[in-house]
Formats: sequence, C-alpha cells, structure tokens
Amino acid sequence: MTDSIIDVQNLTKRYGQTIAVDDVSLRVEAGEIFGILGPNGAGKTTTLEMIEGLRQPDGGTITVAGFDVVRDAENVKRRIGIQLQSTSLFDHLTVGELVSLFAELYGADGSPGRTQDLLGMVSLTEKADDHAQTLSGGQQQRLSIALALVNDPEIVFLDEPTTGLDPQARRNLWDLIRSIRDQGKTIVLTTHYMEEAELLCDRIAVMDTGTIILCDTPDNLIATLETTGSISADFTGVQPDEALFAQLPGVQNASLSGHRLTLQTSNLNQTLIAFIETTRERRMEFDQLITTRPTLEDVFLHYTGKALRE
Amino acid sequence: MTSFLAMTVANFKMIVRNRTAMFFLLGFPVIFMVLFGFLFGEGETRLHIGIAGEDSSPIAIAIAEQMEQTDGFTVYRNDVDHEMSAIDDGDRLVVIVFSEGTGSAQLDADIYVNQSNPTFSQIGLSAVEQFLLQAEMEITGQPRMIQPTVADVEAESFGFIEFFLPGVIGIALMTNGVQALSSTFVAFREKGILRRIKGTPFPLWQFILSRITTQVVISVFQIVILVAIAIMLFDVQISSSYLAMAVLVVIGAFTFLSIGFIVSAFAGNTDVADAAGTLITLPMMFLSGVFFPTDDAPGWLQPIIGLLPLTYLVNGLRDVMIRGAGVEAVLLEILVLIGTAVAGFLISVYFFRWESRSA
Ligand SMILES: Nc1ncnc2c1ncn2[C@@H]1O[C@H](COP(=O)(O)OP(=O)(O)O)[C@@H](O)[C@H]1O
Ligand SMILES: [Mg+2]
Repeated sequence: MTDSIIDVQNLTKRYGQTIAVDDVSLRVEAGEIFGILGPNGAGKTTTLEMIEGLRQPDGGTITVAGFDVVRDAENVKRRIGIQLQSTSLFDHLTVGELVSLFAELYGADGSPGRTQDLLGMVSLTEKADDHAQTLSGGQQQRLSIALALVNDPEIVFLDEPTTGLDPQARRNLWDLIRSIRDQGKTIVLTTHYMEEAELLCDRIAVMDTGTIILCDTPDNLIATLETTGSISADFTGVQPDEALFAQLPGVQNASLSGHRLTLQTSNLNQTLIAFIETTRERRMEFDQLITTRPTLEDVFLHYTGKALRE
Repeated sequence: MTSFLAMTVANFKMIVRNRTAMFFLLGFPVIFMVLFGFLFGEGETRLHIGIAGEDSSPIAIAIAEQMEQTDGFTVYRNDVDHEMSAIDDGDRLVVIVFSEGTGSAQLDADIYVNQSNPTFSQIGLSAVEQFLLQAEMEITGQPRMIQPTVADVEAESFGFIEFFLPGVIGIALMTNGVQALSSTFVAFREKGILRRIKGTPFPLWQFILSRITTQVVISVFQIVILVAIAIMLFDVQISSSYLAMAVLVVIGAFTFLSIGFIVSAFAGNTDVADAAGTLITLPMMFLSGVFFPTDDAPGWLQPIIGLLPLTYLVNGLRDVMIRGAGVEAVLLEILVLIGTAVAGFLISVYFFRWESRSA
C-alpha cells in the first residue's frame, strides 16, 4: 500500500499516567536523512525505539522495509542498524574487538579486514587497539555508528548522535552521516539542535509532548512562516512613538527599549516599506536597521508557544 | 554458531582482562585456603588416639585412663571394630588394641598408625610409644611388659585442610556463580548493554548460555588451580576418581550460576545485586559446614542447613574427595543440585528484564 521504507500509523505509548507517544504517524522515504526534532521528553527516543523493535507499542502499526516490526522483529533487526541514546559498551574489549564481535552477532563478516574497513569509514583506524572507555565523546559516537553499520543495514537509526559534542566534532559527525546516506542508506535521527535539523536533514518531524506537530523539509517548514520576521532600528534623533509604529500594516507588536525600536511583523516586506515611508515623511533619523527572517526556532515557537531549549 | 563462539571468546577476554574479577576468582580462594591451611592445618597438634580391648587387663585400663588425662592426646575408648573403622575414615591417628599376652603378666598391644600424613604419624607413633613405656613403668614398676606390634594403616587422612578443601571449592563455585555473575549481568543491564544486544538478531538464550559456558570453564580452571595448590603445599590426598569430582564441580557451578541469574532478574541495580549476593552467600558459607561440621548445630537450624545448596555440594565433595565415594554414592546431592539449577534457570528466564526501567 506504500513505497515508504518506514510507515508508522497511529503509534501510541503510555508509561503510567504519561503518554510518551500520542497517536504518531509518519513516513520515511528510502535514501533520505529524516530528523525528529524536539525538546527533551518530547518522546523522540520512545518513538525511535518502538520503530527499532526495542519497545512494545500500546497501539498503532509500524512497517519497516516491508516487515511488521511487532510481528516480525527478527527480519527488521537484520535490516536496520541502531545507535542508542545511552549505551556504554562491554568493558575490557578493544575498539576493533567490539566491531568484530557485533558483526558476528549479526551473522555478518567480523574478519579483521572488514573491521578495518568499518573503522576507516568512521575515522577510527588508529584507535583499533584502544579500549572503548579511553575514547573521546566524539570518537565513542563514531564507534557506535560503526557498530550500527556492521550488518550493512538499509536503514540506520541514530538517537541524538551529536548531543554533548563540541562544534567541530559535531560537524565531523554530520559529514559522516551524509557519507552514509550517500552509500544509499536511509537515516533516521533525533536531535534537539535546530541548526542540526536544518543543515543535515532532508525532512524533519517536529515533535513536542508526544505528538508530531509538523513534518516537512526544513525550507518548507520555514516557508510556512515566510512572511513573519522582525525589524529593529536605533533612533538617533527624536524618540519614536511606539503607538505610531504599532499601527503600520502587518505589525503585531512594537516595543521600545532606550533608542531601539523593535517591530514583530506577520508581513516583513509590507511592514518594511511602510516603516521606511513613515520615517522619511517625519524625517526621523536612525541607523543599525536590522531585519530578521524566521528560523526553525521561530517555527517551533510559533506552533508550540515555547522555546525549544529552555 | 560463529556468533556464539565470538560471544564466548569475548566473554573470556572480558573476564581475564578484568584484574579485580581475576583476583576474586583466582587469588582470593587460593589466599583463603593457604591462610587457613597454615593457620589450622599445620597447627593441628592434638593426637587422636583410639583404644580398644583394654577391658582384658587392669593395667591396660590404667594406661587408658592415664592417657585420657594427658594433654595432647584425645582418647576414644570403644570396641575394636568401631576404632578400626574410625582410623580407616581418618578420624584417628593411632589405634591401640590390647589383648592378653602369652605370659600371665604379659600384655600385647597392636598399634595401628594412620599413614596418610607420614610426618605427623611418625610424631604420633613415637609419642604413643614413649607414653606407653613411661606409663608402664609407673604402673607396674617393670619395664617392657607390653609387647607392642606396630602396623601401618593406609587410612584416609582427615586433617583440617582435607576437611577444608571441599569447602573452599564450594565457596569458590558459589561466589563465582552468585556474585560474579549477578553483578556483571546487572551492570550489563544498567549500562544498556543488554538493550544493545536485544537490538541484534543474537538470541537471548545464546547470550546467557555463552556467559554460563565461560563462567563454568573459568570455575573449573579455578578449581584445578586450588586442588593443585592443596596437593603441592599441604600434601592433600584426593581419594576419589577425578571424574566424580569433576561431575560435582560442573553441576555445582551450574547450580550457583542459576542462583546468580535469579539475583540478576530481581536486582534493580548493581548495589542491590551485590547486597543480595552477600546476603545469600554469607550465611551459606557458615551454615553449610565449610569451616566446621554442622552435626552439632542446634536442632532448629538443621532444616535450614538441609535447604542450602552449598550443604549438598560440600557434603558431596567431601564424600567423593576424602572418603573416596563414587558418583553413585552422592546421587542425592547431585539431584538436589540439578533440581536447584533447573528451577533457578526457569525462574530467572521467566522474570528476565532487558532494561532497568520498563520498556
Ligand atoms: N521506560 C520509561 N518509563 C517511564 N517513563 C518513560 C520511559 N521512557 C520514557 N519515559 C517518559 O516518556 C516521555 C518521553 O521520553 P523520551 O522518549 O525519552 O523523550 P526524548 O527522547 O524526546 O527526550 C518522558 O516524559 C519520559 O519521562
Ligand atoms: Mg531521547
């Protein structure tokens, strides 16, 4: 009935009184990087782990690569690679031994040659003989991504792969994730970083309190708020009158702090033209004119009424 | 199959590379045995002497009574059959059997010496001969009325270390099974390693079996080292076939691993697992006759003692190792241990949890 590689319908999960995932439906297409974006506690991990077959849904259906996850978990496990949000690995084994062991657990090739290839892919070749505990945060994430690739999966699930990493390590990981997508794999990841969702993902599901609010490409998501934005300017001569500017077309809110006037608008172009005309007519002097376009942050704010990161 | 093998090899590496675990696995029981062996094994200075047939002569009775009052001797006076079987069991160092001699005033004494520990027997024999000579002089005023005939008995030695070794083996199997297994397994769950394994197609039962295989092999290796040290340092003689011993050791290892799995199934975190492990193993250590025989324990304790798996393992091992019993003589013990193991695995598989929180 569908060509999507992942098809989730009406997925629900409760923990006591908490509804962790509330009637979630989504589709992931083959070959894309699909992001689930939301604050802590939104239900990202619960959703992801139900799709991976690690948690039992209370309701709904999940089809992955044509198999029903609940009834046919074995077939699904063989076709996916997973990285969990929080796992430490076996102590006392080296990086190379861990990769080889997990390959064998999947019934895949755990030979030294293949282990080297996988470690090369995640730039950990030099670390093959080190113990996993001695790796840096970014290296550990790369190791767990290598473990998610041992069975040459069709779909790779990454739960907050860049959380806690410094900007450089994060950028490296983005490159790695893109290179995995370029091998023809589908990637589903979760994040609470706007920037990451915007720059890395082909499509994003915005999640909050167990539900998916929006699901689209980053550009389309921002385009839904295309006309919104803000204008601010520092007045150098007479103090401007807030009430006057509040009446300009499109303005939702005008505020003055010192000499600085800020206008929130639902129609940036229209308001900007009116602002210029008004100030010219009244010969009001200003500098530092700044206009801002919406970001995903504003999209989130607009739809949930709260900031993504408190 | 290759995945099972890979997992098992990895399990071995994990254990062998873990220094703390290795210390508790190998160092601790060995130190334990050596320490106790030297403290008590060599310090055993009381000479257990059996006397029989003394009724035939007032002189013999007088000698027996005097011997009873002498420090250093522990004297048992029973009939000949009783004392001879006691020396066979290793409970006597020397048995003196008096009988009427040929001459009217003469007294014959057959002196049987337990030869299981040659040095100790030598000391014992000369002490007894010395004593007899002196006692005789005091009582009769005449030398050498007693005609001693010395005979060696190839009895089983039953010093402290012989008594203790099966107990140490039992403790080693118990701690290795209950504590080592439950704390690693609960740690695996706490760290999310079990969930990561659940994400692979590798079946749970194989994961568990692999860990068990590793632990059983390590346990057997540990016991081999213990027994080798006991033989080298303390001259311990194992009277059983090693096969009967191996059967008990392997079954005992499984039994305690299954108890470890029960603990892992119920303990929410490693602290709870460690506490529960100690709570289970410590009383067992003292109530199962590892350090001292429990025959003298109060009556109300006996049913509890009879419920402890370690009791059966240690009793079975003692029967086999020092009394030379075969597998058939310890069938009851084997059955109890197997029953516990099976029940333990059923319970723990039923209550098995992949993660600390509900999934
Ligand atoms: N195993 C669990 N037991 C009880 N509550 C849980 C469990 N897992 C998640 N929750 C709750 O479900 C909600 C969603 O959690 P989660 O999926 O981890 O969110 P996210 O990954 O977006 O941070 C939270 O309120 C969390 O406390
Ligand atoms: Mg999460």
